[in-house]
Amino acid sequence: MRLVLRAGSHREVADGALEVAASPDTPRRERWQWDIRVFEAATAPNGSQRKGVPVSANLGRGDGSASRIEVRADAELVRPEIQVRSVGTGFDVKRELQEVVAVIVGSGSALAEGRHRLRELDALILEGDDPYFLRMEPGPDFDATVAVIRLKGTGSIGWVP
Amino acid sequence: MFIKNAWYVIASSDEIVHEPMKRTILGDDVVLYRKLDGGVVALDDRCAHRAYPLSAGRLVGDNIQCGYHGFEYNCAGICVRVPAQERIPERAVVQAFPVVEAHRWVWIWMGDPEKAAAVPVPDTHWMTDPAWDRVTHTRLFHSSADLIHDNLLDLTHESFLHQSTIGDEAVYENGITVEVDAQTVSVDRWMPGCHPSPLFEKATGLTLVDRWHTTEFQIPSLHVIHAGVVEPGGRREDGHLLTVLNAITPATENTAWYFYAFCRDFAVGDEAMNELLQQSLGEVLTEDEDALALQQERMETRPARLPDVLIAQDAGVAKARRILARMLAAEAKELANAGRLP
Ligand code: FES
Ligand SMILES: [Fe+2]
Repeated sequence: MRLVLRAGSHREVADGALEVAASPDTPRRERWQWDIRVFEAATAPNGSQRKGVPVSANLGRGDGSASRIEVRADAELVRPEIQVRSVGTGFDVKRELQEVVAVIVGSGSALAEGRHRLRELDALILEGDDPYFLRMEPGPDFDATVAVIRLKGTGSIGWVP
Repeated sequence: MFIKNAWYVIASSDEIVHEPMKRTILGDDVVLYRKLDGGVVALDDRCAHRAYPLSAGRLVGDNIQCGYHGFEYNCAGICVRVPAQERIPERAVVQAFPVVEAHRWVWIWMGDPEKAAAVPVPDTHWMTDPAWDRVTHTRLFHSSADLIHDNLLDLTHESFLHQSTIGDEAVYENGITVEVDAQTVSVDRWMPGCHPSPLFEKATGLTLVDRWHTTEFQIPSLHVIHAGVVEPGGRREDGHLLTVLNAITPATENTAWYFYAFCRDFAVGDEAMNELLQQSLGEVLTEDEDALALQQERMETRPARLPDVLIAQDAGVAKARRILARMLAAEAKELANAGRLP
């Protein structure tokens, strides 16, 4: 499944962060797996930690500032990785079985799969049976910066509503 | 609890005539009627005098007269005549609701009237566009509006509940793209190289197609489903197109009005097609109506320790519930800040 989460849909959570995506999406029902949050400032203090060590990276924003992307995960279930990169002339993302991939735009805009136009702080999550392959292309404006987040499951993981 | 600051369909245009009509929506009774110039009036259906329903009264020109002691109200809900005395009490007023009639549906705003003007009613122009034809239904479902929202956001139910008409395995075999914005959730399913649904095959004669449907939920009151079929490899815009409008208006906590319009851009003016669609889609709606009534019943007796088990396909459902909850909470907070109870 693809989940296109527009910037306006992210949830403000405690400590001034935006929750971009989480699994489970409805808290306190299924076992907690992971969440992805954006802190407006790159220097924001680390939020409360659950199991596992948060992984974070700074993502350049359109106004020249940087935000911090932080991924928290249950270490027994998920190993998270973040890579920040420019879209340049385009690139491919291959997803493994047992992997959830999230792409978040920091600045500029990018086109995913030739049809989803992603702008600043829009996110695309891929999970489940399809797709395993994603083509990212540049938008019409200046080069886009994106964070590519991989959530590698120790067993089968997915995004849980 | 209902989201009040939003436009909801309260009736189809042809239901409202120069006679009082009662309709319950968002837990409140509303009396509707058409003025002599054709305009629509919507008032709180409770006389200010002693609470008799105004819908049980009669029209006097464009005014409505209570059937109990004859208080007469104008279209703005202001009492203009008290038969038993000269003086009209200041508080003899009933609430008048903003209404907009557009494309054969009548929309009402039950919340803060001052907020209504800034919000346009959703676009439903397919109802009157001469390049399209349509069949419509109006139903009162015996289930909450939320269950109808869930139903429309997860169309895999077509494969099971509507097996004989609009559903087959292509629906659940193909993945979805769920898109979420501040106040809309859409669920798109692309089904390449498959059979059209049985109803579509009957209606178009095609047997192998690329097929799709996209539900766009304009929260809280309208689902617009764009669907269609095209010969394999063709472009969506060149196909046989459908726009299915589903305006969902809570009546009470466990009943909801369902205004349905199945619009198509092919076989326009074909009366035999209209008859076929009118009847088969009526059956489809009955299947939903019956299923949701059963679901409602089971949900009401379900222990709290057994919440829904949602799967990835329910992404649209989960996201919409969250947005609905957030909007409800925001309205409750606003009312509390203003010192009024929700
Ligand atoms: S209750 Fe309406 S006039 Fe008395
Ligand atoms: Fe249905």
